[in-house]
Amino acid sequence: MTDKLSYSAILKNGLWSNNTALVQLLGLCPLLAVTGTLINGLGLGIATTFVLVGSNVTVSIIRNHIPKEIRIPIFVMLIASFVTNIQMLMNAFTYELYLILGIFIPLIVTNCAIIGRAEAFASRNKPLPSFVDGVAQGVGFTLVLMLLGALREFVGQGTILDGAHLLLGGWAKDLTLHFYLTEQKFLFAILPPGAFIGLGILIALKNKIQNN
Amino acid sequence: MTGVAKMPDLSTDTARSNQHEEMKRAVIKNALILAVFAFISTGLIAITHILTKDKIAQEIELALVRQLSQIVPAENYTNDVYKDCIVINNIDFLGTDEDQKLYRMRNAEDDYAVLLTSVAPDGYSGKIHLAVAISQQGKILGVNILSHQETPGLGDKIERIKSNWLQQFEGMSSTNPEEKQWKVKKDGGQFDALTGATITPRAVIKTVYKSLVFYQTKNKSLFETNSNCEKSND
Repeated sequence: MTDKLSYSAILKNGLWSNNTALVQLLGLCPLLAVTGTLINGLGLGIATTFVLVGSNVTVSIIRNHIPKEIRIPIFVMLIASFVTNIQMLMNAFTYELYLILGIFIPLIVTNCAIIGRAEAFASRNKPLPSFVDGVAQGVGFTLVLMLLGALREFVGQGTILDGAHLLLGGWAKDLTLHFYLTEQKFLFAILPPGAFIGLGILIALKNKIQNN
Repeated sequence: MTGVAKMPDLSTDTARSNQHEEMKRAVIKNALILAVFAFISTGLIAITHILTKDKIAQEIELALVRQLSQIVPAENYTNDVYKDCIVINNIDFLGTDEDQKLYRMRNAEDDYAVLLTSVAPDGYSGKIHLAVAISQQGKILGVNILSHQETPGLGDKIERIKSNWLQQFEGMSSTNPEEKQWKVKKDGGQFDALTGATITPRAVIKTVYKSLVFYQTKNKSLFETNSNCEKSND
């Protein structure tokens, strides 16, 4: 990757051809843990995008001031500190939002996509392209999270958008679509094994579309 | 090779020691830079922590106030609950050595109930902060989760807005069911666990039970002590 990459290429990379979840296969830990429902996927996606953009810009700004040999530990420290600070600030100043997104934030630390972008992109590019890259990769990741969440939610408990009011406010309560009622939830889809298989199906689909 | 061998020993030594010096300098420089970054990032966290600590505590308390009406209907008591509060501290029953609070709800002459905060120290990922409302007779009026870090989609179902799991505690007391029944069904008790999460419910059930026992052992004295929360804040 070079400085010459156009913004549209950066966007296309993040959203499709170099998608975090479908191509780079990064960030699988939070991805597998959280995508039980579409709304949970969206929640983690928003929080991740936020951190990704922040860390990309920070890394890009200091990229010329850190020695190559120790860049990785420095990135790790920066990201960990960034995430912790965001968590505390949200807890203090946006308490309601924190109650909803707060549980996702510690998961972001385990997301290698953040350091992956710091290393592969932000440490070699100017702040603005790094910002765009953060947004593109974050949105790309979020879309996959939502898709996988919707898939598992549909198969597992027969709904789509369950719990929308938690993230979007009271008006969204009626958004939940019930497709069929289940006595017993289909646990396999809701638990992590379902996430592995769901993600596998999504990757296969993407490759199929790309090859055609 | 022969050419090299004929070179004076001195210069090889100097070259080697120069190289050595250079490497040493680079290592020290990197170590220093790392230390500076570690200092900055830890420092930032420390500053944010100090700046937000009180605000966070205040928000949690406000949330407690907002949530009380979910578990105890406001028409059942007449006093100003949030000023009628005492500090309690008991590591065995409340799960932490930090001060917890106990709010008292009263009618004209009648003691109605208490709301106490306690901590389940053994959640799946860290502490779970609870608020337990107990009637004067020692029955649970309701339980709320104040804060937790359990896994989204699994352990977080303990939250009232995400499932009705918490409601199974309502009406229970420390003798109903008896102590050995205060467990998840999997462990031979009578409480439901959550799909895909057992550790979280275990921790909550244990702490709810202990909170009840704490109330039972103190009972009347909890209502009679003068309010002292304000003082402890100073």
